[in-house]
Amino acid sequence: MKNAFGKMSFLCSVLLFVLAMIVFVSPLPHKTDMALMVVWVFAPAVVGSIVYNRMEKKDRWDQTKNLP
Amino acid sequence: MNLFGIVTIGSLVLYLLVGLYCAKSTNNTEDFYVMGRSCPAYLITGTLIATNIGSVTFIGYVGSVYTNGSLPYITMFGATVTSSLILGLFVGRYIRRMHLFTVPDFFTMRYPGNEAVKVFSTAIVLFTMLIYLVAVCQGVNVVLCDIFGLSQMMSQFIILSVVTIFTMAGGMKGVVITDTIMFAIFFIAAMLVVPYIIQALGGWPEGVARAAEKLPYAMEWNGAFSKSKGFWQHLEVNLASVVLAFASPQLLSRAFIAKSEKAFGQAMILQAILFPIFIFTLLYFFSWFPAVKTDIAPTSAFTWVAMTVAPPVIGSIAIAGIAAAALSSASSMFQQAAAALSRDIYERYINPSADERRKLFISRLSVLLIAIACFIAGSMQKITALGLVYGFLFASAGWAAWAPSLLLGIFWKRATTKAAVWSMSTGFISALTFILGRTWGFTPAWVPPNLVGVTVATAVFFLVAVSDRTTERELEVYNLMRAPDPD
Repeated sequence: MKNAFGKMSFLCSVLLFVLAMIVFVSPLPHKTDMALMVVWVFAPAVVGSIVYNRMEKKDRWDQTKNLP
Repeated sequence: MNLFGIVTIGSLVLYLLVGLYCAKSTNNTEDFYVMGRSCPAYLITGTLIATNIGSVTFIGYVGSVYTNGSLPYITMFGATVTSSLILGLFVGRYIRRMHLFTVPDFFTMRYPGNEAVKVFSTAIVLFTMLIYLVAVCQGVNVVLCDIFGLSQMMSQFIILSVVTIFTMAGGMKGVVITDTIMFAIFFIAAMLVVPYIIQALGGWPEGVARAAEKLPYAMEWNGAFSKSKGFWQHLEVNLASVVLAFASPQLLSRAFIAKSEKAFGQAMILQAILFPIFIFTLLYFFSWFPAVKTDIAPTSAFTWVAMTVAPPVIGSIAIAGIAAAALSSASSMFQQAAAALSRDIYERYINPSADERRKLFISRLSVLLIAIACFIAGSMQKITALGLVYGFLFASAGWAAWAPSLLLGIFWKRATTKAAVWSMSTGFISALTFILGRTWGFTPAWVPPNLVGVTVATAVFFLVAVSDRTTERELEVYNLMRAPDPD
């Protein structure tokens, strides 16, 4: 059964990524190292939710067995 | 008894009650080992993060970022979420279709006809789970010994008793539900404590900016390490996290319990969202802590903030959070080690014809035996932050030995039993040699043992597999994994 999980997770992960940049990176005098680390740790959720959403659209989860 | 003690004991009682409640619906070994394969996504997320975050994080990593800066440690969690997403979106479905109970089940099924694979994978589970368990229990000792003034023996006894009772009673369901409650407690604990560090620094963002001027190394990619040491540190911890996500029994086993392949995928997305919030908030702000105070032991940084800087109510939740983090990791490892004893040794070699009732009894008895072994081993160690981190690396080096056999067994048609046997044994021996070499100084200290283990195991697997022929049975299992579950 399709649902809005992929879209919701995408929105949440993008919002978090932006917030992380503001909270963790913006106060620092030298920002590059921390900015790269924020990308490395927070961006996978954004990419993952895009991939999940594409799989949902292409019915790639249809092979799922739902146990009672 | 003070508020810290009341809240911590209250949380322990809650876990016991939940475990005992779960016992009502644990009626057979499928319930005990894999929760009847009915676990929803949110519980898988809770148990995965709770298992990943242990006392090592609150004691060892907080101590390490206090000393060396945060980026050489936060980096590993990027590898954790990336690997978990790959596992959830692309790999987990094949594992789940095999209807496994334990990780050694995978090797037994995928690499048939060789006793060595079964024995070896079972031995790795038992060996690594015990070492990891001892390290995890040592962490929670810091809390109980330092804060409540208990002896090390007594604190070990209390921790192990609580975990043993709820794991014995509730099996996997007890572990998963208590893990999720524990995750909620330590997540809230970290979120509540951190604002007091920001306050002590002088507020956000001004205080953080001032601390960054005072401690320039704290936010550099290599921290307080030299550039070359920083590079190897990043490589080692990231690789350890990849191995942990793909090959550690306590995390991989969550694919067996998912109610569907989709639920497992959703769980990994949720994990990728929640995990960074927790880990960044905790480790980033604690790396500024030397700007506030320098004369405390690094391993006591979190407990010191909880008990002296934060108000008592918040501090007591934080202390209960450390205990929760340690117990959640320990319970998952208990469950896996006990499953190795009961399913992979008792059911396979000692009494294959045992009835369901007997098997369930032996499964519960195995939890008790693991607890006794852990108590004896744990009573022999002294607590150091470095010791906790090395416990983690030692266990991950063991899993590095079987990671190539696991992943190549799923994705490579030509994977053979002979290749798995050679890969796992040579990978394990080389990883172990470099661990011992690092300790006693006969191999270069900068070479990560898990990197050696994975490289050797992968190379040997390819070399043996291309010179070997796949059997019909091996192909049959490979095709079974590719076929969707009949609904």
